[in-house]
Amino acid sequence: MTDSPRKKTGPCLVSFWLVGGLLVLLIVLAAATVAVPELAAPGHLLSVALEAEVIQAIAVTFAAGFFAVMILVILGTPLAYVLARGRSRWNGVIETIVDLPLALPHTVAGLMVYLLFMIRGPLGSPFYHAGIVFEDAFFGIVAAMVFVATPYYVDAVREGIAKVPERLEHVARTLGATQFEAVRTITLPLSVRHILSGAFLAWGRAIGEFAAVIMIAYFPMVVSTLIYNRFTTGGLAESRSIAFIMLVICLVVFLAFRLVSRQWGRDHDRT
Amino acid sequence: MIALEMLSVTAGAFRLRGITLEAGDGEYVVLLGPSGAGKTMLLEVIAGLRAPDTGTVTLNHRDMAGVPPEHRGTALVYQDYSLFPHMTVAGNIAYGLIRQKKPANEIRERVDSLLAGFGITALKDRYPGSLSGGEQQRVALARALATNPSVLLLDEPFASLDPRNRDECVRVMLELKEARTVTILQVSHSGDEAYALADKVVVLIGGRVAQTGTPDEIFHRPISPEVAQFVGMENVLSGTVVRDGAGRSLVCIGSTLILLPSSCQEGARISVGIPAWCIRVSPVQPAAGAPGMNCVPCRVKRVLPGKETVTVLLDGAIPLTAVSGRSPDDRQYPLTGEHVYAVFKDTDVRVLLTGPV
Repeated sequence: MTDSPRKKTGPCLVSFWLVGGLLVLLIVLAAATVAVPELAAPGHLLSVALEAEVIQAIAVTFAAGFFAVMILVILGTPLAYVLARGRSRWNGVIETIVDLPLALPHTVAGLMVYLLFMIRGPLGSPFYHAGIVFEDAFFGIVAAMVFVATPYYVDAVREGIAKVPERLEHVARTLGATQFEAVRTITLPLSVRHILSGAFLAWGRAIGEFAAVIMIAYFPMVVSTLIYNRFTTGGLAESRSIAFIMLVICLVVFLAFRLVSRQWGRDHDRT
Repeated sequence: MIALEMLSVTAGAFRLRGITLEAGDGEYVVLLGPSGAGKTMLLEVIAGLRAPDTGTVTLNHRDMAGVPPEHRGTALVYQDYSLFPHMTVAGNIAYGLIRQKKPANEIRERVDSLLAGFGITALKDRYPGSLSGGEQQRVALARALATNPSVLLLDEPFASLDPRNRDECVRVMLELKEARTVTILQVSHSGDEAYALADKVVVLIGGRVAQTGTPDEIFHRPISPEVAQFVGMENVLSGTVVRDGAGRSLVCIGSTLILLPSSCQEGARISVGIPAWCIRVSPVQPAAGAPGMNCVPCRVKRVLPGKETVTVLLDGAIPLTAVSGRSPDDRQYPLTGEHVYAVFKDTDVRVLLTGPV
């Protein structure tokens, strides 16, 4: 990587930079319009950051996002494995079903989750009798998040597993590993980067979900709901402060993730 | 010990039909066939990674139907060696021992002795990505042998090595063969390896066993035109059997008559093979009288000098290829366009499978 040949910067690359740079500029500008006024008034920012409602919304968002990702890791990894390894003609059908939430408007996804998990819904009702409520409750948020984030996780992990040659598992089997052991000791460690990036993508998708979440659980408020709520009830400055806090947290998490995933699985890079 | 009985497998375009094969304890069998013959697939069936459509796999006198790969006592080394990239060399070799839940000190001892045995102790803590092809191959072999398998399945183990590494690895395999502790079935498409290593060669063409025998039998007595062509017999010709006044059998190819080593049914269509190294190119017609000598007038089409041999392509009544050894003090080669005689003994003519060709 370090000794890549110096490329001569021609008119082609320059024009690409000029055009493509507009996108980068847009993101930086958008971040700056939130960040600059907030950093200019640190007192107000601090007072909003310390509001109980804000702290609670952030906690709910991150806790629900964490739960959603855990559920995805537990349920989505096996699914990704069978999709990556299977040769059945049903695979295409299953993959389409898994990707459906990608194509749906979020309000549609939200309505589907609501109808399924509401107290009288086909899944909500048995859970209600078992004492778990989704409507206007923490688990409703988690359910909506899992629903919309599933394709992000499953697709990323499926792609990673497909890249691990099946022959490695075959060799492990002949060396005495059961199929479970072969997956656990060979395939999963070799897909760890994709699992991490899938989890990260899914997490980002989950904590950012708004439309699907409010349809089943306006309360307890997640950060998105709170920002929208403050925005519509007249507190532009307040909604901007919350947005800035989220921006900072997400940036930190993102950088930390980049750092960790770069270290992870470094040894087995083929040279 | 390996015994395959009427094994049939289908996977995509690959198809194996009615494969019957046997390898005794400690025997080294080379499975020879053109690429795409389904050889790798056959190894996977023996290892239990793939189920056959019909037929049985018997290993060490036990029917393997329904036995999962981890309980078959086979070790498989793929062509690309398939080392685990996230484990060190020592970790790779220890993998099978760890799965057997051997105590840690026993694992360490076994790994150390294998590392030493294969001369790769220095690579112990390296990751496979940084190893050369030859090094990877040794690691793969050490890993496969760590658990003392009774059957070792090798998929083109030398295919991706440069000539020097290949010779080195053939030596390693010879040592393994001479120990006679493991039955080896190796897939190959190269005759040289088969010659160097095999007790028995099985030729697989078109999804079927075309011939089984010792390397000498396969290379010098191929039973069919397909096998002859595959093992590199340059001159495979077909014609009709006729008889001369003295009652000898000849094959008539176009207008050329070639003396056969043995009597054949008159009028039968047969194929014959003549190894290129059995044909001598002579500028003059040899004195008649040598019994059983064939002498075919030809024209030199092309001369291809090699490092140690010279190949002469002949045409005329029938196309022939002759190869002769070459030394610095050799006389001039024949010239292109020159009229010469291809001279070969009737005993060097191999009668391949008779029948409709």
